[in-house]
Amino acid sequence: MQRMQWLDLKFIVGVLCLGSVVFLAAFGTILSPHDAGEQNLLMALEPPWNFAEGHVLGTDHLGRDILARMTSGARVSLAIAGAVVVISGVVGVLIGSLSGYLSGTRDMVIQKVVETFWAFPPVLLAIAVLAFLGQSLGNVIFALALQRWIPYCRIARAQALTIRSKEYIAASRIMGGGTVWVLRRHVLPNVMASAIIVATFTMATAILAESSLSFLGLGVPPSVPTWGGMLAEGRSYISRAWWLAVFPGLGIFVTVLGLNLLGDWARDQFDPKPGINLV
Amino acid sequence: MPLSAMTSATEPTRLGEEDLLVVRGLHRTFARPSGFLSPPLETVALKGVSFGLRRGEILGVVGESGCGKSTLARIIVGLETADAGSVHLGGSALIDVEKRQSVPASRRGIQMVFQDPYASLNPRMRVQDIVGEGLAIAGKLSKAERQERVSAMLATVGLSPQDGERYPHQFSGGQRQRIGIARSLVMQPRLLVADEAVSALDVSVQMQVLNLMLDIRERLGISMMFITHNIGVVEYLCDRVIVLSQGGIVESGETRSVIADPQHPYTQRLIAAVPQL
Amino acid sequence: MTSRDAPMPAAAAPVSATLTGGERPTLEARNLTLSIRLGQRMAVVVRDASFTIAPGEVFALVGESGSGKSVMARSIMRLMPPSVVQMEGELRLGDVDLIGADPRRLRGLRGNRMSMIFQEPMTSLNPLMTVEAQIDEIIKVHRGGSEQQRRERILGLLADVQFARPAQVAKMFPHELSGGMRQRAMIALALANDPALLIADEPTTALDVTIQQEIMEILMRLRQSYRLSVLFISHDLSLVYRYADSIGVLYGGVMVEQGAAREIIRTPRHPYTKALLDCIPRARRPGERQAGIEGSVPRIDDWFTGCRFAPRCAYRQADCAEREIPLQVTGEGRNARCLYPL
Repeated sequence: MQRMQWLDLKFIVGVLCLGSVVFLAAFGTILSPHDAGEQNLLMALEPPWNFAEGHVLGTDHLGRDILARMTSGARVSLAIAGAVVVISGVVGVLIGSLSGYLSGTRDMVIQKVVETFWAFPPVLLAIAVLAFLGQSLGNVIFALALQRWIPYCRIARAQALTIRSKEYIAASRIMGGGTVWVLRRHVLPNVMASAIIVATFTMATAILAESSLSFLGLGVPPSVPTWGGMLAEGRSYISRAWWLAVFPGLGIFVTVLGLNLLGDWARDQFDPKPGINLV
Repeated sequence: MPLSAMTSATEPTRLGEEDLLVVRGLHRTFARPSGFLSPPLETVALKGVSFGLRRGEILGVVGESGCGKSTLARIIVGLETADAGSVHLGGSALIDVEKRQSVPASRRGIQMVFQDPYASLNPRMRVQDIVGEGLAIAGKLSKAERQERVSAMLATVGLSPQDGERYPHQFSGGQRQRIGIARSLVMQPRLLVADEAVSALDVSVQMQVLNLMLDIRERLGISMMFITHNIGVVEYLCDRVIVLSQGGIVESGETRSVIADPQHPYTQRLIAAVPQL
Repeated sequence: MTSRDAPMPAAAAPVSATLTGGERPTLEARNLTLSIRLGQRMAVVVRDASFTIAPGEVFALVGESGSGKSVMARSIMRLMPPSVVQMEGELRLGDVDLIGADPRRLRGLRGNRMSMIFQEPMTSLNPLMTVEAQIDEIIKVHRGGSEQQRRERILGLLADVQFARPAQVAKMFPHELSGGMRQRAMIALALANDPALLIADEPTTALDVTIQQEIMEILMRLRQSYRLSVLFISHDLSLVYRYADSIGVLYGGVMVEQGAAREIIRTPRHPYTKALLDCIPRARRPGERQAGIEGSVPRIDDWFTGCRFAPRCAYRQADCAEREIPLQVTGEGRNARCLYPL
């Protein structure tokens, strides 16, 4: 691996995008004197930049402060996406590594299960799960993680398949290394780099999916403000009060863009360069 | 008569006193199950291979690619299973297919040195962790004791103890092969199986590793099975040689006599094809 | 100071064992220096190499890994863009200046007047095309001809590389061929347009000895019937001894010795050549040991002063590491880059 290039445009813009969202989630409450649930119908549909009343990004149709709701939405989005990434990552990498390392019949069985999961349209599967289990934070995370472990699984399996034929694995086995030992010492460390890349992209899709579910009214309970929910509510006011939909939309856009840029950058760093090996 | 003294694979097999390793009637077929549109495919890798390896000797195994020599090695060390036959080391059975016996690889007292000095070392591990891996798996020694053994072994193969701190990519091909040898020796094996251990090395480095092998045999008294396709290496290193062709032993005996007077047509062709200076 | 700046002694004229007066060499390299890009900077990988290959001659470039032999082969084919490999000095294929030639000219030369075969045949065979289609393509690109003529040429080529049933092999895909057959198909492909120069980069290294011999015999027969010049790249001195007319020994990017194959191998004058020959394992008496070469090949980006081999040389003198070593004539048609030739 070559030295990391930190001064890459992708990296800088990615960090700025994601950093601003994290900043909003962490310090948004300081910027807005209002609470996300606090209604004031007298102040409904107040346009942005109303610094006198403290509604920097305006208010919605119930007079709730958009900035405060954006902060809450950022927290929900990041928390759900983060949990989905970690859970699906751990599950996917473990199953994938094991599948690739064992290979043969066991690998085939695992891969059939993977393909079955993959065959469902992602949002449809999540909707079905949520309709069945009911709306709660935990269920949303479960519904989203249900398919997102598959990319990890695939990449981990592919890596494990190449690693398993390496002679150092044979050496380890001759010296008594069992499956757990070989996975922990040889396979998993080699899979980590790719898993991190997958994680950034998974996080982006998880945020999009969470917003989609909230937009459809199937995400977290409606009392919790989310970007997707705000977008859905703002939809009917789009011609009169653009800020209701634009700010949550911007939030989603910036987060996903930042994650994709960072993922792209990470891939550039970890991937072997198409250099020429001659000597 | 020890088994190792026989010159033909068809002679009756008997366990000899001098033989450390005794292989009898080893058989292995690889089968690919029939696929969607393809019929099942069977390849016979080994068909009834029997030979003995004496204590303290270096036995060469030669043959063209696909003759089954790598399969033979992998069965003996325990990476692969046999369909029939038996393998004994020092009188006790490692594999006996009839009796459904198979000792796990780690308890066979056999270690292996591999061909590729790049693929045989995990690039993400320090040399000391690579060499000490087997000891760590066994878990009988403390970390300090392991370190000590590893350092001593690095010195034995001609590396310095400080090299333990470094990563494989910081070493040349020859040095990597020394690391691989240290890894196998630290387990104190009774038999070392080397599969084309010098064929990926530069000529100038190859001789260093061959001499290291001879040193190890002299100092530690370890017996070796050395698989190679290079007749020159066999002449230099091996006391006796067996020639494998299409899964069977076609010729065996003292290296000097086999090379001076090859009996089997395949051996004759093999030796004739080697350009002599 | 590098040796490039030093005036070349008269002895530095390229040597060739078989070049007879007046005939123009197929390939001529004079003071060729190659640098490749390593990250931000250029590193010299071959320095000041001069050699010629006459029509019908087999010139073997011998060297261990890191000697620069593969870069040399690919540079002669001009397979790498100038941004990756920088070439200085002179390099001519017949009357064509290979260093100055533009990309279009080069495309006309590659696969036509010069071609190359590799260690791994699948690098130059397309797995999706039959043998016939691949050879046909390269003939069409360079010389055309009617379908009938091309077909005849293809079958002739396949017969030349000793396929017993050319018509049958022509219809096969590369994966249907064995390793040795693929190698032969690749040779047929390389010879499709009757090239003047064939570069063979370790063509038999991956093959079993018996097949290796078969391939080499075919190459030798072809160079006679096609009057083909062969640049044979190998690390195997015993193979080279048997099949090459002349040898250039590369070590760490420097041509340390060259001359007629038999002479070089029988009476090596450069300590590296001798040490390399002594490294070939052979029968020994009990207790006896052959000496290897201590240390390892210098890194390509480490250009210390003096002889490249000095740090490992058993005959090293004090001044070997003090200055650049000029080429010395060490016999008829042979030279070595050594202050104290053996």
